[in-house]
Amino acid sequence: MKMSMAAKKRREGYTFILPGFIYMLVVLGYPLIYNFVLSFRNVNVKTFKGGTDVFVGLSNYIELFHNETFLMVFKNTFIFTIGCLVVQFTIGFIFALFFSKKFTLAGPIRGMILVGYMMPMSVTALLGKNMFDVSSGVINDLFMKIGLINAPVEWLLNGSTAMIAIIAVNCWVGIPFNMLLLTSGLTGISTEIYESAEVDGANPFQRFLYITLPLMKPAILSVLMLGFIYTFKAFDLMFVMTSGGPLNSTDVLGTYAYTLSFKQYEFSLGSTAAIILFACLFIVGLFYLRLISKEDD
Amino acid sequence: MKRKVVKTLALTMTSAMVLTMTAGCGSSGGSDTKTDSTDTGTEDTADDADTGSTETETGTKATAADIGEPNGGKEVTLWHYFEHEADALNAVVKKYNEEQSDIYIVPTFVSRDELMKQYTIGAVSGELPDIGMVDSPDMASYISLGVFADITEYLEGWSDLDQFYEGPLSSCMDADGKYYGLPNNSNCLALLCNMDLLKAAGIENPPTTWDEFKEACEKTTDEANGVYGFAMSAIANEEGTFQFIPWLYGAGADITDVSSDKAVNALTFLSDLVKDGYMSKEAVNWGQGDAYNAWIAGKAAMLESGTWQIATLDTDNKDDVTWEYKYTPMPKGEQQATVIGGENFGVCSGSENVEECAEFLKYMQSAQNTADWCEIAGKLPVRADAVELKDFWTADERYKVFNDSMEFAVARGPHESWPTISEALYKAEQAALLGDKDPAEALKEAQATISPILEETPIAVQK
Repeated sequence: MKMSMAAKKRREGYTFILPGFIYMLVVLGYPLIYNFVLSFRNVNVKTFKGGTDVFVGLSNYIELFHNETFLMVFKNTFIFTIGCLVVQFTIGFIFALFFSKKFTLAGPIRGMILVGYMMPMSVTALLGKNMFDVSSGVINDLFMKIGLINAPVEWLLNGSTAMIAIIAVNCWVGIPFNMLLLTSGLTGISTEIYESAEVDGANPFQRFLYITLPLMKPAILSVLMLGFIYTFKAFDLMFVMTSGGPLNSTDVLGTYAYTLSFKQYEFSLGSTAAIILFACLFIVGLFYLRLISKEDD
Repeated sequence: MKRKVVKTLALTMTSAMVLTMTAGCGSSGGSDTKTDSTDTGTEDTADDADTGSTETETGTKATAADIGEPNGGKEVTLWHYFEHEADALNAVVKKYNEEQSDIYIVPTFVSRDELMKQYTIGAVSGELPDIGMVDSPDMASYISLGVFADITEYLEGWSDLDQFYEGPLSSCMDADGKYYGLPNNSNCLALLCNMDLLKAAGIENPPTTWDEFKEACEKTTDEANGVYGFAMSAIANEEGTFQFIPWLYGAGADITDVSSDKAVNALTFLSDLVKDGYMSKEAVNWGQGDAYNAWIAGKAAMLESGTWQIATLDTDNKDDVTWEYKYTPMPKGEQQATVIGGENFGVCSGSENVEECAEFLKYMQSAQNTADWCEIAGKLPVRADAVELKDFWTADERYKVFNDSMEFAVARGPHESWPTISEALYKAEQAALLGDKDPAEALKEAQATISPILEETPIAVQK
């Protein structure tokens, strides 16, 4: 049987993606499905060895959503993500706009801001832990010297301030990330458009509002989406800087799932928390996919 | 135009992802450097274990120079998290490698957190060492998970077994009385006093009761210079529970009823120390190593200190400042109490040399070897006849305090759900110290977590 040219091409295409597909199936698909199965059973320290775990339906999900700590962790994850997104996007955008101006050293300084982004998260977290220390931290010292505060703030000993500290440290990483992606979006806008707008008498504010923003829309949406995904699944920052404390106030889904599985050997509950984390990101991911396919058309 | 934007974006994102990945690699190594074990005095001691050894993916492997040349026997792996004690461990291994040729033991240092993670993963994947070290309260969980192999048949009829202390030995057994390993060493907690600060405050002798202790706290606290009366670890992990138990049992309470009035007294006593400014609130973020460092730096007059800290005390306490110090048993409340810590070694499931490995454990824990090793490593022996072999634990005043304290030291567990019980306890402690909840309320919540667990599987209660 003779194959049509198109069919042949299509088969060729499938052959090319096959290795990648198999890789995804083994490395991503298997653990995901395994996790999913775990979340519907009751595998824990008691049932693990004997294999006496049974199918429990949705009871793990129900248990978690009735668990005060989990609800707090769930809320924390959103507070952390949204807090980070707002700060890092705003400042990142301002930086991107600022450094897109052609002035001396714009390039090198922009490069230096990226250092924060390239640092391993655990190093950043350790720095943060030391900087926000009550008695020997540089933040308290600085704030006292410039008269912003009178007494040392117990940053990491207090739920709400610990969250602020964590968000601040994460933004130190997130701002360069946002700046990087937004800068590449900005370079995509032709200078001719600005020039003609200027000739037409548009002021800088109007140029930003009617040229930059609309043309940046795909870049902005991508940055927000990616930022959400990266921030939502945070783990190492809390793990090193606060261990989720004090009293779970900086625990997020990632760290809590780890605690359940690896500290308390509640494997099924840990998987359930991980699946909930996954589900949240999956929804955002779907949204993102629809968005870029729409932009591509 | 839009295509170009998307293309540039795609490119940047790809590079961003590559960057994240490299950053990810770096971070896994970085987090390992944080040691938080119940058996760590200072963090820099890890370097000792590193000298001349090879780094592997999971840890630091000992070299032939330390453990003897291959003896022709089957190579078996041993994972441990000893730091300054690693040399002493290697010495025992070397002796054994030279004495027989059935197995060739290769110890590998793995940080405590990483080791625990590897056991949990290994329970699923089967990738376990032949011999593994474990913190005693965690052993019950790992036995339940199937990490350790039943070695009862090799221990039965071993007359030495009678010599082992009950507390440490029981942590190697399951509910049916089967053995999964042998205890290696014990430690407990006592009060370490900076006598310079105490004397300056007009106190000649270390406190012996809670009242005296509180008075000493009050007199030695010097807010202007950032000196607290007392330092302990109340961190959100096993170390926090470990350090809380002496107070809980000292008040006359026990783990089965942590909402009792006596238990509330214990926690109230500690939270009052914070409230009165005698103890830093930062204790909730301090591991035992951090509390120890605060004491060394002269920021605390008294410290709840573990046996293992004696080993580094003189070297750490010599540079800029030298404190005259003294150990004394934990102050007495309703009763005298402290807590047992220590490590066990077990043979892991799936090892092809279970019998040979069990023989090694018996060799390592023979009276003479136990005594030799505990002397070098600064630990308390787990068997009575080992203590009699040397006068180390009675002649040295510091070790004597700990050795005597073992008489009223309580074990944690054994219980397969100990980590959950422990979490309930340290969370209650943290909530009270941070002023988030009052002690009675915090402990009531802890009891609500603990009760159903103990109803299902009771815990042996030590009074």
